Amino acid sequence: MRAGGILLLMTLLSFRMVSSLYAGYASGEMTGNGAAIAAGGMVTVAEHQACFDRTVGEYRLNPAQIVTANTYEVVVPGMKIEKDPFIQLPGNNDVSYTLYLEVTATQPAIVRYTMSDDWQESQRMAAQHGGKVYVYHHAVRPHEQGTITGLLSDAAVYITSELRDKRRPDANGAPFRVDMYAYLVQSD
Amino acid sequence: MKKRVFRHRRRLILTVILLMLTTAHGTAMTAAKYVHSSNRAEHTYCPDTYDIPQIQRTVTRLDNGYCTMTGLSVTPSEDTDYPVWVRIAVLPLWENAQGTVYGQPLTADRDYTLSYNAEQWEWHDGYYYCRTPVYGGQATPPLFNGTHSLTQISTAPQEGYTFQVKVSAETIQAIGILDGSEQTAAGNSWGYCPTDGNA
Repeated sequence: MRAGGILLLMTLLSFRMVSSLYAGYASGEMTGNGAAIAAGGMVTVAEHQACFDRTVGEYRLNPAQIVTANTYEVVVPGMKIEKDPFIQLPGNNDVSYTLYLEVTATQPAIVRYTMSDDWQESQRMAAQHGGKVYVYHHAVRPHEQGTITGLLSDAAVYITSELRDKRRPDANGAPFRVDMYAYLVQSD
Repeated sequence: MKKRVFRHRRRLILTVILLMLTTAHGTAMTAAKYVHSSNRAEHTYCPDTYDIPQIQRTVTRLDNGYCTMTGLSVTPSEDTDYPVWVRIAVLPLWENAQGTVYGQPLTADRDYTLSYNAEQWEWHDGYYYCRTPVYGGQATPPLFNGTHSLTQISTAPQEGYTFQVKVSAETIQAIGILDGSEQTAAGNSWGYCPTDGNA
């Protein structure tokens, strides 16, 4: 009888602890490894502002302006678009983390990019937004701060010849997006 | 005796269940790791467009009744936000008021003379290519400038037909290369690009 009581107590205690563990991250989304995501503060993805130079028909990066969104109003087939996304780590992490990057493309046939050798495509973390997930080759140490640059192998994306005129939105002529998300997953 | 054995078994079973639950709880604690997400870095790409270029030329009637064409430049639409290559096809012909083209083609130096601005245009396989790209709203240099012109020098072979010059202009993006190659859009579509001089 006494053992049964202890058992019941332990069972309830286990349920409560597990529940509270997840409840603490109730606003996040579940990842493949069973943890939940807390957003913001620990890692940021940004890049320099892209400005179109009409005289040469190219995008140039403005080194004085860091942004988290760029809109490219003039895109034509075969275009090379300079792009330098980077990841900022403020160093407020107390434990080691593995750094992941998810890249989503609404029209993957139209835009081509190559990740640098520092990043490998990974299945270890489930994609949160249906994109491709890449893992960084170095772990992020506790309180490590700085900027990780050179995400793309030649700091550019390429528009393929599949792109069509904007007057044909139903045939690869509609605006499309490539978004990036970084994740720090506790490794200890 | 039987009661004692039963109690022992019950204790054993309960202990095993207790251990299993504790292990499960520990595993759950271990599997749940901190994950921190960044902002979303948004990159929106908007396909561009192009419009039919405008052709400007001057046609003058000479004292002898023949026609001469001067100028002839092409202006890509203002909406074109990038530099483009321009090429022109020029076709003199005899045509009547109903738009019927006379069957016999015109011959240079027998029916007309043509000299063009070779400094800023080059001829290749039936087209005149502007040597430099131009921008939306910006006119090309004239194909016929200064002393250059396309001038009629003979009368129509049949009454009712007059000297006409059909001009068609095309533009194509002067930026970008074909996927995984060094070929320009002009090289790929036109088979010729003034920059590289080959297909």
